[in-house]
Amino acid sequence: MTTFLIRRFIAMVATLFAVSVTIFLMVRLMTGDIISIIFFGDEAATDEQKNLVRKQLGIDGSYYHQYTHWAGRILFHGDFGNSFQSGQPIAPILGHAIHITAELIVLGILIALLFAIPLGVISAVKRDSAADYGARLTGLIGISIPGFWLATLLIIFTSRVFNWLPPLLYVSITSDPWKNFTQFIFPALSISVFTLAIVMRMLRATMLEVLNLDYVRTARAKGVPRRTVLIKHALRNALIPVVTVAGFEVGYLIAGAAIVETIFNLPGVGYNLLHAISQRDYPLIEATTLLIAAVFVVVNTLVDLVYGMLDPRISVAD
Amino acid sequence: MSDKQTESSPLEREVSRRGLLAKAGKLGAGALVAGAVAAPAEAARSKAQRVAKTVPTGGTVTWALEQDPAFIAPFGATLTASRWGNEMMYESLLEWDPKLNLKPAIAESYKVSSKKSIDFQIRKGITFSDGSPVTANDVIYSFNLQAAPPAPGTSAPTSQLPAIDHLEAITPTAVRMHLKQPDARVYGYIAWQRYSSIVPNGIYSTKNMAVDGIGTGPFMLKGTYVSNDHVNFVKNPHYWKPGLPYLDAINFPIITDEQTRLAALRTGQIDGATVSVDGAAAINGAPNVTVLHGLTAAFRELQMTIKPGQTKPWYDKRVRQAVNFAINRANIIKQVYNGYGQYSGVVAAGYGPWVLSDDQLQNKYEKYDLPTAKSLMKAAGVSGFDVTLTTFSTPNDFAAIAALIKSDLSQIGINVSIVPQDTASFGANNSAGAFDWDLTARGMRGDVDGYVAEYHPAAAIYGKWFAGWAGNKTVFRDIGNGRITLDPAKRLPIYQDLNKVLADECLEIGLVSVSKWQVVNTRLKNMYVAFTDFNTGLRNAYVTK
Repeated sequence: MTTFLIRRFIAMVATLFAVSVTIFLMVRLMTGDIISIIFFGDEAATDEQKNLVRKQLGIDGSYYHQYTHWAGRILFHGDFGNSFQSGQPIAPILGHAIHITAELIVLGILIALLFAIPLGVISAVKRDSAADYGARLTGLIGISIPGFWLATLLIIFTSRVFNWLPPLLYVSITSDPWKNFTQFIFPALSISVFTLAIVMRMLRATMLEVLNLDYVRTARAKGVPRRTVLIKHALRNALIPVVTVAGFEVGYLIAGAAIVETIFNLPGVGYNLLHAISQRDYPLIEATTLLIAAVFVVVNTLVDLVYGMLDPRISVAD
Repeated sequence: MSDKQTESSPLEREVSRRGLLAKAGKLGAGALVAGAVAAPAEAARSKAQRVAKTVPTGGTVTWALEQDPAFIAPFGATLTASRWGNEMMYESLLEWDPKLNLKPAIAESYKVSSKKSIDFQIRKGITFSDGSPVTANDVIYSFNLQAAPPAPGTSAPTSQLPAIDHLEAITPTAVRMHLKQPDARVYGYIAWQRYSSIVPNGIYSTKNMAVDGIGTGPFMLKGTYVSNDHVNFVKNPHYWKPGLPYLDAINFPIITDEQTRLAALRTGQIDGATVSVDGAAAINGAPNVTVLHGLTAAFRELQMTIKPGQTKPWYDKRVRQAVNFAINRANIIKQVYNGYGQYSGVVAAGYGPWVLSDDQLQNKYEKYDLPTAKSLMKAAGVSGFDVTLTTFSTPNDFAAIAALIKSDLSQIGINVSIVPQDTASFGANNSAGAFDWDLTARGMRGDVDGYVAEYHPAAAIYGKWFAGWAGNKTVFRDIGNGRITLDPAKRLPIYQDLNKVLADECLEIGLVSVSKWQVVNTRLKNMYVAFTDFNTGLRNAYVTK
């Protein structure tokens, strides 16, 4: 286990290093920087003035110099720098945003699993029945509907039909849990449908496979109750690939949350990233991307650990 | 579409722009003039009190901002959205009324004391929202920071800054502004207020001005600005305009998605917001909302570069003129803006008397005249050519206008390739002159000079856009004279002449001035669409329930 964790830690550091270099270069290779936004329309601004501001912001030297300066500050001082746009330190901006996105993602995953697991099981157990067709159709729709479209539809629907909208300013779960729930339930629903569909279809396929295996037949022949066979024997094994998929989905959910956060006015990580990209706010883009990559890597490590717990045949030491 | 323009505040106490500039004009002659800008304070106060009795007071308005201000510090080359985030609390020595007439604000009067100096008398008894009096030192401190803005303002707004050399205190409540040279731009720069706020002396060392601030405006900050979330204001109990503001508070949530703003307007969660022309059409007729629209300084134009050492068909003026006459602006207004818009020259339509009239534009300078366009192409010996037109990818109207231009110009043999770019890319290419043709937008300027400054060889951008242009002595002369001619009666003909010459040169081809759309709850009164692109109407707005 220790070896496994050390290996994964090294891989995580390598991944984050690669991500940091890639994103660092990508944002700088995009046409335009914050200077072109600050000075847009200022016909009297000279190149000297622009270069002075570049120097003030630390984007005037070579890429190597800029990268080592930026990475050094993070590594040795834990300082992600200041936003070019607002001048505010990045850490509190992301600290505020990550709460919002984390809550959204957790709620989204919960909604997805809450519906996907029963639907997947029913669909497999009652194969080719009306319930199966219904569940498969739900899965097909879930895969086909873009989250941002559903989010817009929900906003329009609730405002037109019920003359109601979720709160549009962020309310923390500790200050008002019910208001917080009403604020997050619709965006979480919007981002969950794709994951719900994927997990449901995956679970159906694996359940169908597991239900035909010998040990399940043996359990039934021994007189084990049907419910116990389904839940303890079949579902537990069928969930192994589902856990993998759910782990990957966290990354996609963060990406999908960006637009949904904007629609529901939730200033989360994705919301900040979208705005940072349009404003060429390098420090905010880089920090946000690193954060997303770190979450992705950590979640996948956790998935590997859970894998071992679900299936004793798989040892993390291997 | 039913819509209405609300009237301006009943409290407006106008001093005409022309009147004020007429006084300023005497600066050029070196005369000492008492700028009796303010009407007698007592008369105004009693009038205000009479009016205030008829207007309901109290209540809170929630107005959604469509873009995050990023910060609310007053100084530096700030975003328009930054001004949206602080305009309720900051003011300057002068201000504009809704029709761009100059009015006194923090300064109750001014006196032209020499060719290159103006004395401003600070209004008696005026205080900041914390109750501290406004002094000459506050004014000097503020103007110093405008020229050299501290963080988060990263740069002075160079092209907007007039030639202010320095300020000195004459008395504790009067300042003398010394100019490097006579400069007619100074009044508009101050009255626009975008870059000329007055703040307490030393405030940058005591507060985080990115999220906090103190001013003399009708409202003061409640808490601090929260990025990507909100900025809220409450009534300033020390406000100097009698009876104002009517509202107790204004909250500005930041809602960037238009569908969400429209939904929030429907449900009454917000009292007002800016929307697109399509958004306005979508919500029009919904209960409890009123759709407002008005011309703003934002206009669209087609811009061409002329570079040295190259030969392109449009380097021939006749080809540029052909392009101008081949564009059907009426069709653009109809197709892209649902019929709401106006022809624009190089100066934004509606910018006081400094523009060519709509009649002159429609029937002469920007007339849709295909036969003339074809004959000009023929005279230039050009049968057609390919050109790339870069424009913004958002908002949608740019792509729509570009498509119509492409269609129009195909009739005179010009094959236009449209390249949409995001704002940062477009800005980078535009400021580097790395384009052939741009479909771009211009915005508000403190002074008419801001719309034509780039045609002068001394402008930094001239070398990137027009270095290969043979030049036009009339243009150069008019820009120089217009800047230093302080008598508006003499200044106006200079710009009328300049407008015509530039309309003939067609380096930048004015297209259309667009309407701005704002939707308000019917309980919100006295709001209007400000020409400046700010939400100034909220300062004097009130609610009926």
